Amino acid sequence: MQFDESHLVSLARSGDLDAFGLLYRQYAPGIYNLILRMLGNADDAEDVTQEVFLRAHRSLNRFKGNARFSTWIYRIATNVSLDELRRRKPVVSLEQLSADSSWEPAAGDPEGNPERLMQRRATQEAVQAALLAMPAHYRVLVVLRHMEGLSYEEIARVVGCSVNALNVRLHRAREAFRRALAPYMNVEELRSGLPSGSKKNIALL
Amino acid sequence: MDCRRVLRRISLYSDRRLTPEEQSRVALHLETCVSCRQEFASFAAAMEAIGSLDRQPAAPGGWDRLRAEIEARGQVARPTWQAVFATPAGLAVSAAAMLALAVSLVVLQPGARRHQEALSPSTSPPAVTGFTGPRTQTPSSSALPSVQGGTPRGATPAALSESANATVAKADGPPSSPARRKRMAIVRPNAPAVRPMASDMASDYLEPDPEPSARSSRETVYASESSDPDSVSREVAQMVSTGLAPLVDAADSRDPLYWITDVDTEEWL
Repeated sequence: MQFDESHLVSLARSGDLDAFGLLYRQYAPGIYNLILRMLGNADDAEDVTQEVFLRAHRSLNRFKGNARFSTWIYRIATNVSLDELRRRKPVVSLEQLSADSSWEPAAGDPEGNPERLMQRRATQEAVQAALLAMPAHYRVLVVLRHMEGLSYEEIARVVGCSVNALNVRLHRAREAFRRALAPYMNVEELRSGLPSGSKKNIALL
Repeated sequence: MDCRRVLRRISLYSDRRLTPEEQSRVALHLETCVSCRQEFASFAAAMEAIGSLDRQPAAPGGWDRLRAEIEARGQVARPTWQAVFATPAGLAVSAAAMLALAVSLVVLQPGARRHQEALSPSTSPPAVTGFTGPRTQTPSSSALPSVQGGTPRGATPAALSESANATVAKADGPPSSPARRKRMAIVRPNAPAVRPMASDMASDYLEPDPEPSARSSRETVYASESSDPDSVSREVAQMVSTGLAPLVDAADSRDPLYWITDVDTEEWL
C-alpha cells in the first residue's frame, strides 16, 4: 500500500500518529545524516533527530502546506542543528573521530581489500573533520547538496534565500570545504582513497 | 574567458547550471589552461570525497522511542471535532463510547441508584475524556507501508518557484543601483513581531500562533544598508536568538557577500 505525501500530512495533522510515523520513516534517515554531519557525533545526532521530529509534530497542526513537507522538516533540522552548535560549539578532533565507531565504512563495501578499506576510512574521517572545521552555515549547504542530494531550488527553500544567492553561497561553501580539507588530504591522496570508478571522472577533466 | 571568471564559475559548471554557451566556454578554457584544470581537478576531487561519505544508519527503534515520547508529553495533535466525526473511525469510536456508557449505566443500575441518591442533583454524569483522535490498529514499525513520492533526492518539485524562495524583503532601488548590489539582510532591531512563535520553528510555513503572549517573539528579516560591524554583531545575536532561517555565523559576518540573500549571480560572476 502506498500513500500520497500530502494525504499523509493531512492525516497526521488530524491526529493520526501512524501517518506521522510513515513520514518519520521516510525522512528520518536523511534528517539523521544531515544532523550527524553537522554535529559530528552519533549520540547527539540521535537526540537532535528526535527533537526535530518532536518539534515538527508539535507544530504539525499549524503547517500551512504551502511547501513540501521535506522542505519544512529539513529547515527545522537545519535550524535546530545550528542552534545546537551555537549552544555547544563542539570541537571534534581526528582522534575522536577515529575512536567513534559510527564512521565505519558501510557494510558490504564492494572494495573488500583491507588496504582500500583503510584508505576509505581515512578519507571519510578526513572529510568529516574538514566538515566540522568549516563554518556551520556553509557546512549545511555542502551536506544538503552532496549528501542529501537536494536540488538548488530545494536548498534555497530550506535555508531561506534565492537561488541566485545560493549560487554564490554554495560556491563559497565548497571553497571553504576545500580549504578545510587541505590540511588532511591533498588531491593525489583523495584520488587514491576514492573507489576506483570515480578516478575516471577526474581523469576526463 | 579569463582564468578569474572561469574559477568563479567552476561550482555552477560542475552542476551544469551555467548557460549552454558558458558551459562550453568554461570547458574549452579548462582544456587549454593547465592551472585552471588543476584547480578544477582539486575542486572535483574534494566534492567527490564528500559524496563518498557513507550514509550512517540511525540506531533502531527510533520511531518507537519517538512515539512513546509524543504520547508521554500528551502531544498527540488534537483535531477539530468535525474532522473526527467525519471519519468512519470517528463515528465508530463515538458509537462505541456511547454503547459503553449505556452498558455501564445498565450494569451498575442498583449501585448507580444508591450512588445517585448520594449525589447532589447538580452532579453531572461522568464525561468521556481522554479522546484524542481516531485510533487505528498500530502495526509494528517494520510493517508500515511505504510512502509514495516526497523523497528529496534529486527531486525538483514544480510547486517550488524562484519567486517564492526569498523570505527577505528586497531593498528598494533601480536594478543597476549600488543599493541593489549591496543588499544586506539583517534583522531590524526593535521591529514589532510579525508572527510571534517558537524560535525553533520554520515559521514561514506555519500559521500564526493564536496566543502570541505565550510564545517568544520573532522578527522578520528585512533588507538594510547597515555595514557597521558593531550593529552587525548585535543583529547577528538577534538572529541567532530567534533561530531565523538565514544561516548566521559571526565568524563570517564581515564577508560582504555573506549577507546578500538575493544577489544577481551575473553581477557576481
